Amino acid sequence: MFSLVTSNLSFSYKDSNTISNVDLKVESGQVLVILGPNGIGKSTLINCLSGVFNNYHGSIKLDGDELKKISSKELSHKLALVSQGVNINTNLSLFDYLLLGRSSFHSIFSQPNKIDEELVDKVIDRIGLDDLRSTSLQNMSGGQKQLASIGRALVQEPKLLIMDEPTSALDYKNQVKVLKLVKRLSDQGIAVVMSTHDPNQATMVASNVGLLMSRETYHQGSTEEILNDEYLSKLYQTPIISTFNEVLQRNVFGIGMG
Amino acid sequence: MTEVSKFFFGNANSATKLILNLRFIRIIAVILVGAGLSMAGATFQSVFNNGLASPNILGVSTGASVGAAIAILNNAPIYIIELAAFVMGVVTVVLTLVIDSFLHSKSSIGLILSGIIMSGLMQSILGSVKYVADPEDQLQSIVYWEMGSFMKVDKQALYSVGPVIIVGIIFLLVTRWRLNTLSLDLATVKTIGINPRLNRNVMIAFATLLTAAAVCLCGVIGWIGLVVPHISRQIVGDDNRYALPMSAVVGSVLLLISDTIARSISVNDIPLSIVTGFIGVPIFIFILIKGRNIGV
Repeated sequence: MFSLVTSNLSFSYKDSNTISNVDLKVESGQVLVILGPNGIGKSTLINCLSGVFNNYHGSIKLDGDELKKISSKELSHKLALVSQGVNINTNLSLFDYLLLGRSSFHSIFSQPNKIDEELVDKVIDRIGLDDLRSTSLQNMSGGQKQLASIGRALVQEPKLLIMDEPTSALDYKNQVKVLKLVKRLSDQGIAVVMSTHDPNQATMVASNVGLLMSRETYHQGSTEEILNDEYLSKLYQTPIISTFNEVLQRNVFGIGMG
Repeated sequence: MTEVSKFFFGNANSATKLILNLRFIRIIAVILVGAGLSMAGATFQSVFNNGLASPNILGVSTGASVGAAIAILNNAPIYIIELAAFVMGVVTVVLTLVIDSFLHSKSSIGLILSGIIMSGLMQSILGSVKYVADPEDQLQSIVYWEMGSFMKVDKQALYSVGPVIIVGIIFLLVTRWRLNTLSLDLATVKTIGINPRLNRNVMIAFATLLTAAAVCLCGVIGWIGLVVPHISRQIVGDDNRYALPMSAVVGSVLLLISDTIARSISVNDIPLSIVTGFIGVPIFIFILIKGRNIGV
């Protein structure tokens, strides 16, 4: 059982964007959705968890090992970061872009081999973009780019996938595509951490939810116990009202006008 | 061919020597410089993920020629001129990057601006060096350096600088896949398990080395490093595993054509940058009109 556990995690920039005392936990097969308003530090948290910022305080344990002490090469075989697809700025084809996930499996002087290429083809199949194998990322829609970004992460064969607002720039159809993929990946045993500001997405995929209430307060619990109107209204400082939808068989969150 | 091999071992007859001295050495130098500058340009464009990055725009070429000019001013031997060109090329790139980091620019325009600033500064320094140079011989050498020409390239120059260019070309060729990784954003490169800073710096160092070596051999040649990578990517796509070797080939051919024009158009050689400009500008305009994403 693979696990990511933080205790007393804090991080501060020189000016702002501080987070403190985050105690978070996620295991294989679970999806932890981190909710919070814009600018509260979700991205900072994501960057700490994925090893991009490693001058944090407190501890982040990956399978019991302190994240800081794991070499970046080894880390890349354990966890992968899915950046926001809209920000990908490359003319590479989907295939060549995904292949980059194999970089740390090779020295600087070597080239990808057949095994890498077969793996990439499998992943392209898994993310459902077979038709776009040789299409340049520049010519893809936001949704396709987001799936490509997840694909690049999967090529690293990670045990943990960390996603920074993977659905924020997507329309409903593409949001569902990404969320379905997330669900499938967790069913296959991958641990997923994703941030979003939409509680409805949490009810669709999350096993656990973390609320970044303020820079100092983080609550984590099961979806049922955390996703209630009181917490969410406080979190977004806007009235949020949930109703049970018979057709969807789950709670749907609506925004009040105050 | 046997005459050619004799030439390199120093026992050819004088007629062969003359022809080969005039032509063969020059052709080899042109091929090496064309390939080197183009690969340096392709490398800069990938590392900075910016289609406008090139040895000239980043200020490397002007910086290197300042180094060379200062060395010439002190009547230094060729290897010191080379070293000075390399050191000043690196200094210029580093300063360009430092200025860029101060600009906090979110787009790559910051890098281009910094390059223009550093090029401007290096131009002024070069101007000052020219002002104090001995007009009889030093000034002439410096001006020659500034405009680019293969006229003065001889066996000795090729033997001393050629190996440096070959090493640079080989290094960039064997590491070319890594360039693809480096064109991604920093956070992603890091989580892919690659040290972005170290890898970038190594690539920048070798591209700078190639540029500086080329500047030592034939002075500053414009447009090749900027335009050739774009032509190559039009042909084979953006994957550097193919684009980099293609850049080497296209760069060599284009520079050979330019050099042939430069030495045949009038009785005396005309400076090469004039020819590469006339060829490069229309090609670049064409690429821009075709709407290629050049990452700016």
